[in-house]
Amino acid sequence: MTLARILVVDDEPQIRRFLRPALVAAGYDVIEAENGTDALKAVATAAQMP
Amino acid sequence: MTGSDFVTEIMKLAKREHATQIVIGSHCRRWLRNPLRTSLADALSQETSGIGLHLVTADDKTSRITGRKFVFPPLPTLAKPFGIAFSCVLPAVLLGALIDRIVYLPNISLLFLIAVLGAATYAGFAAALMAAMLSALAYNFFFIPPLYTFTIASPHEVFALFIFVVAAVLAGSLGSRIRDQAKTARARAAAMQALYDFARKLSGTADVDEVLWASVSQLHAGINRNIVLLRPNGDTLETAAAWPPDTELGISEIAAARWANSRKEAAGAGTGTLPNCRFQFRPLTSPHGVVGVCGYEISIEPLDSNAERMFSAIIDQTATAIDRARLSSESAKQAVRLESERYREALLSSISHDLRTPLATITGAVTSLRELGERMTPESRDDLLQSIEEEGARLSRFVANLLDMTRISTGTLQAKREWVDVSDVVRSATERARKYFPAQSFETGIATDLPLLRGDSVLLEQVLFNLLDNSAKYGGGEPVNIYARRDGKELVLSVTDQGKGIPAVDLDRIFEKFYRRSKTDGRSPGTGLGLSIARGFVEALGGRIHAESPAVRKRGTRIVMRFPIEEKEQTLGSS
Repeated sequence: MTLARILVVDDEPQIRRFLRPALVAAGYDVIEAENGTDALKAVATAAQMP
Repeated sequence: MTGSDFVTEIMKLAKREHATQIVIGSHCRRWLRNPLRTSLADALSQETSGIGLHLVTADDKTSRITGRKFVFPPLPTLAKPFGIAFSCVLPAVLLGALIDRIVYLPNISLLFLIAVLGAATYAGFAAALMAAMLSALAYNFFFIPPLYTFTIASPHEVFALFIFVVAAVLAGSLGSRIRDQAKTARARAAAMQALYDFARKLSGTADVDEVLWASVSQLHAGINRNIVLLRPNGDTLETAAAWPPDTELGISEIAAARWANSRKEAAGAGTGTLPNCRFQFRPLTSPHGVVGVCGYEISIEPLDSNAERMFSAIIDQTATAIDRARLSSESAKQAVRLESERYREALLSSISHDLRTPLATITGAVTSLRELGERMTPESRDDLLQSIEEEGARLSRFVANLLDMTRISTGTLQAKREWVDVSDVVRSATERARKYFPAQSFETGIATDLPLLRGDSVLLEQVLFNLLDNSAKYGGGEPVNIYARRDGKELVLSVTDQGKGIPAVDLDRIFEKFYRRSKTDGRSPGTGLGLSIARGFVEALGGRIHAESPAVRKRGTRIVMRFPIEEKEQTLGSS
């Protein structure tokens, strides 16, 4: 079961690469963004979803 | 001063210098010798207003000793003006005789006047005077009746001859004065030209030693004395340049030089301070203080006014040039300091970014594996392990690059000089690159007639790998082409990608240290060192490197290297 959804924003793909499996393993739902614009878009998209 | 009119020149100088007092020396019996001449003091007293005029007269005893006596010049020195006077008057006589045969000319004496003027302009006053006398005699002898005697029949002819002599002497003195002025003007022009050449020579050099040597040779040529230039070195004054170069200074000379340096005034021979040495020293005064001391040997007499003016002009220019050379070397040092500061800043920012990201990744991945590894899928665990491996490799490459860069910038890089098969190097670099970037396609094209290259295969492979690394990062995933071919006496090696390309303004800058086009775009973790190292290595191998963009179909970048081919070449079979 999912605890919460976390948005990871970092311009270094390597950082996102180790954060994602760690957060997933800890039970979170993970979405990623590379920069501020993508992050805002991701937040807007996520807000529309139930 | 140089000029024809003493009084005007003196007044000009007095006004320019805002003089309030003028002191002149005078013989009290001058009027006895030359009653017609206005004395300088009289002339000055009519011109000066608001300026005190002091007349110092010598008493008779001293004036007899110091005053210049008129000595009849030795005969040989008179022979030349006499010869010239004679050769001027002779044509006048011949021409006069010729004209006299043909027409009657009452003013034949005018011909002699021309002869006198000719002698005056050609050889000066002495010749003019002699020409006047010869003319009078010849005119009397050949043209005044009774002819061919030195007697004169009619009284009005005596009077005419007298008038002629006066006119001839006056014309001669005027002519010779113009000649003297022209001579002075020429000498001044030559001196000005010499100074101008010197100034130009100085302006072309920023090296203090060159300035000093140019200056001593110019001084020696200009005033014809032995010259020595001293420069302060710590607490002492040292001979920096001298002409003749082996000039040695005694203790008293050095003391005088130090005095000139510290008191900013002339010292040594001919001055009030330490007058017993061979040299007189003058300070070299620049806008930023005394930069040295210049001494000239006083052999018999001090410098005359022309030499003095030249000397002052040259040492002024020297002082300015030394000052400028000093300033420019200081500003060069400053530029080096700034450059190394900029380098250090760039290094720090690069290190903080390029070391921290892999370290953070490794630390994060290890922590995640330890604390949450049991709950991860095997694929995730593998991926984390792989990222640790990759980041470790990236760190070690970065450190290797830094070391390479240090070798280049400290000049400890020693390229080997062995025969290198370029096709081997291309192959091994490409293989290495394929291992690092499995998804990237590298295509090679190697000419079959490729000669061996004299150089260092390890360096060359590192250069190629850096270029491939770069093109894989910035090439946008499109294939990268490596070409090696021969172009005349050069071997051309190029790496072409099909990425976005580089704007023309940045083409040269990409080889600078820590230059990175898209700073933190995350996808292309570069150190900004790769191309800079490539250039350092290529130059160590005796080659050149440059970038072209766009390279293919308005896109992409091509990095081209050219290496000289040495003559003892062996053509290699196709690879």
